[in-house]
Amino acid sequence: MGDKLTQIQEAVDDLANQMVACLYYLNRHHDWQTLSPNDVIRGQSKNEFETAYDKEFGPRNPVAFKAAQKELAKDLVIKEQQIEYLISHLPGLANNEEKQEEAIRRLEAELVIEEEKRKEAVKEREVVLDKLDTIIRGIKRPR
Amino acid sequence: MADQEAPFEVNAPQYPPPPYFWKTFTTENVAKYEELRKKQTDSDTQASEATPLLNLPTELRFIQRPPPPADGAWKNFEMNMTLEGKLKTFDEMDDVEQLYSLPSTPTGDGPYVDRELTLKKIAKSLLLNFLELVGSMGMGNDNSMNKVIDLNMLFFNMHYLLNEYRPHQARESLIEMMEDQLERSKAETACIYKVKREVESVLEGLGKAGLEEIDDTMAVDVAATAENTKLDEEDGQDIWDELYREFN
Repeated sequence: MGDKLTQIQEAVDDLANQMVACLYYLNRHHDWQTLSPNDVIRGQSKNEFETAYDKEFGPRNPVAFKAAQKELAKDLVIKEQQIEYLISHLPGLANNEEKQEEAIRRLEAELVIEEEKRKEAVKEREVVLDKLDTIIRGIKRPR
Repeated sequence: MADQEAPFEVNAPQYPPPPYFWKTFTTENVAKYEELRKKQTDSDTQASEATPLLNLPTELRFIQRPPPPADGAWKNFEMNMTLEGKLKTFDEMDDVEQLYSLPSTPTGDGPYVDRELTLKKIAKSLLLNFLELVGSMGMGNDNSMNKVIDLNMLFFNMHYLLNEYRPHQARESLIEMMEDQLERSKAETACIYKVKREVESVLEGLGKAGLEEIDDTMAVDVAATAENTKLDEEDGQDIWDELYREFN
């Protein structure tokens, strides 16, 4: 999982791929229409090859086609919603560059102060440790 | 003949082999090169990181990085690249147009909320345009090619806008990391002080125990907790004396 921007970009690319997939499906499996009175829609597949061909490229039955259409459309909308959700969660939407730089400077200063405090604390810890050390060393084992 | 060659075609690697000098990049060679480089910077103060080393042995010659292109541009997979890695502006690209207008540029001082709205608008337009594309394709009119171009444009704009956002996100992550570090540092300091107080209170307890001259067994107990060692009960007096000297 990358950062938000990469996630959005990947989602956008997914959306494009889904669009292509939709077109592909519709193109392959739509039903036939007669364009002129002389046209005849091919009937039942006659041989093995034609059956296999129809299975791959032929029209689906209307119910399945409708259902698939609906699912594809739903997936597209869901993807788009995902993108919008990610967009709303982009970091620092309310910030602008000036504010960010201000924040960075402020944090930098705070970090320096805090680091000093930490060093001070470490020093004090050393002192206490030394004290403890002398006490423990001072205790003599009984002879 | 063609049939016989077919298996080789299938087994042929997808990419060409790496250049012949890749084998010179061993750990020892790199270390040797680093050493030579260090020697040069030591002996010649004017030499910088970019100054090429001369008279290198053959196996080290390729480890030396070539100088960056003088004009700052090079070609990579037929694409023109520049050292700056800047985003092209829409004016520089003749086949795409900017579909949005922002009240503020990313370097300006406007808040980024406008961007959110624009991005969402483009996302919605993508869906709508796809619907129109499918519609026009279903009707079989000539508009579909234009719609494909429109979609292309929208996708491009979307990516462009997102890439434009990257510096902003980078700054934002930096702020987040700094805040984290600040938090950690504060926690560490607090933790140290807490332990320090605890130790001090134990020591104080020891000192008090010494002053009040409590019985031997008690002193042993307190001392045992402080030094974390076990001592026999009859040695209590000894420890007590030691502590007394320590704190007075």
